[in-house]
Amino acid sequence: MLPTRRWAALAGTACFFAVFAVVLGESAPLFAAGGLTAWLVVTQFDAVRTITTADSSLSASVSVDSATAFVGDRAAVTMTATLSEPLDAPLDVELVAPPSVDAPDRGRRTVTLEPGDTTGSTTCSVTFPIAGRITFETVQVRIEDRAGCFTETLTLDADARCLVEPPSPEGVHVGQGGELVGATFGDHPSDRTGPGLVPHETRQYVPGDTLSQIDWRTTARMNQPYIREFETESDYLLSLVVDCGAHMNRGPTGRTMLSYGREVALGCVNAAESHGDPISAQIVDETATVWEFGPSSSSNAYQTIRRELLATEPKSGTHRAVESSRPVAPTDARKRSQALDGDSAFSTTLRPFLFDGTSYVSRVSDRPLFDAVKTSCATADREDHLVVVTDDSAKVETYEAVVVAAERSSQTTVFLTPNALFGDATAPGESGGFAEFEEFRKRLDRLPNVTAYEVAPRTAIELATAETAATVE
Amino acid sequence: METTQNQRIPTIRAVLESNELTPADAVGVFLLTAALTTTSGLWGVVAGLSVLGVALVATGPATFVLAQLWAVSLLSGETAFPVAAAQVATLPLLVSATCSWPPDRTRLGRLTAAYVVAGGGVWLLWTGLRWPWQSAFVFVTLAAFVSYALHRYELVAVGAVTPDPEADR
Repeated sequence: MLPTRRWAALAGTACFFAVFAVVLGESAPLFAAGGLTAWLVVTQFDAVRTITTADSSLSASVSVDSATAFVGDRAAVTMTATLSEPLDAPLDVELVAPPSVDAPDRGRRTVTLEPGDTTGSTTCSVTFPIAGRITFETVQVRIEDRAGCFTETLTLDADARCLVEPPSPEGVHVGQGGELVGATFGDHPSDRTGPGLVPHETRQYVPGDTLSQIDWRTTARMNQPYIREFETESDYLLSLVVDCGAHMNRGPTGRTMLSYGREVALGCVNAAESHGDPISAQIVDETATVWEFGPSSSSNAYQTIRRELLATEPKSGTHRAVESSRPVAPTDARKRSQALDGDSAFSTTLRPFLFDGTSYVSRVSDRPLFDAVKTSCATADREDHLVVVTDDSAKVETYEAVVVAAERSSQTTVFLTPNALFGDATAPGESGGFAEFEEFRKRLDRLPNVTAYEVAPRTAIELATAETAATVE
Repeated sequence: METTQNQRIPTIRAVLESNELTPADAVGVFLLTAALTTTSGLWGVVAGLSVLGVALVATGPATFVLAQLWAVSLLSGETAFPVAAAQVATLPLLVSATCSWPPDRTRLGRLTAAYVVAGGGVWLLWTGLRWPWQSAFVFVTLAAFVSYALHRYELVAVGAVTPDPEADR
């Protein structure tokens, strides 16, 4: 309990009267001091009663509208104060925000219970600038007695928690058909012998082999001359094509399709760096290639690409139209058109579309992903490994780009983020979308020298595969 | 805490939503004027009018403090009876400043009791001790002790400290 300036003024006046009585030697000023003192003591007694009543009857509850959030998100925090019995003095109930939260000013976090009120509530919006487990654990109550002579600050316990997660993907699943692939990258053996450090095999000596190739230990053990051959180390050019169009922005904050795709792309860069492979990178959106680099194997190259990947954010723009139809190549279309009956209305209507190969090609070749893949393949004058990170929203474009890559590149790896597993489509019952995706992924995977993987949150993949299995059964 | 005076102290004036003279004010001003006029003549009327003016424009204990100042100023050297009469006259002014309308009997009784006890204590000290400074010193010490006791009780009641002062150190 702290006295206010009003109390100090009155107590000072009482002391003045007491001193005045001593100076005058009269009793009248001391009676005046006595009257004021009586009033101050009664006021203090009332304040004590008010404060103890408030302490025993006041309860406060705090709730956060979402139990989890990402860094930078806003959340509504609601505080409700309830008195089991009304008080005769006003009290302010303030939500104490943790230091790690950007909270509004005190006025917006405070609810005032006027005399006679029994409940009050306030809602404020807070921002989480850093990750961690945020707990709103304290509510501060400020009481001023009805005479304005004393104040007291009480604290009440609250237990509102919010888990603020960093804006990065968690549980990245890279696999095929729901089966996790441990490592998509690693040593890349060339399966050819020659100068190198990695032992490949031993074989019997044949005329023409040099003496330096003889493995003397094996020769001594086998009593015949043996040759030890070493595997030739290869040097792959890693060509990275990352799609960062607005359609890759699907998913919650920090866990968008691009976030997952970026994790994979960063892993590819790390793998290339660990092998000393040269690397080139292209980042494309809906309209054009927005950034390209390399090829280069300098130490700065990996860092530059990493930095660019981390800085890349999908531009808010028109989402690419989802191509729901299966891609059909012009040759297939022509074959099907030949199977159409002569002059039926169905055939007449459909035939022009199937023969229109030119528009099909132009439709695909104008797309930036296709163009980027084609460019990457063109610049590779040695063994290369093309990595494409995109989603399944434009199946035709992706398919044709991968077809080109399969023809021109030594090895092509496609990382696809399923649209069905991001955003609202992750709800149960949407596994049909994942089945369609899986069909598309298998189609890509069947192309020569192409490996296609799905990239998605592990939990979403498990849910989707379980539902797909249940549907099949 | 931003509260208006009316919110903080629901006095009679606040309830009436005006600064008009309340019955308690009227009684207090009348009794005070009578007590002071009896002993000091015209100055008593002046004192009564000034207290009446403050009662009309101010809330809180200002009226009571002014009345006490007039009583101290005009009753120097007087016998105990006029002093006691003036103190009784100022009590309604204090009631007007602190009690709501209709007056809470408990609070009114508590205030009156404290007023009587304080006045009685002053009288006992003044008549029992030899020097005025002794009376004043003992009274202030007693008042401080009571105030600290209430403060300590409040801290224990709300759980801010334990009953044993040594345990808090």
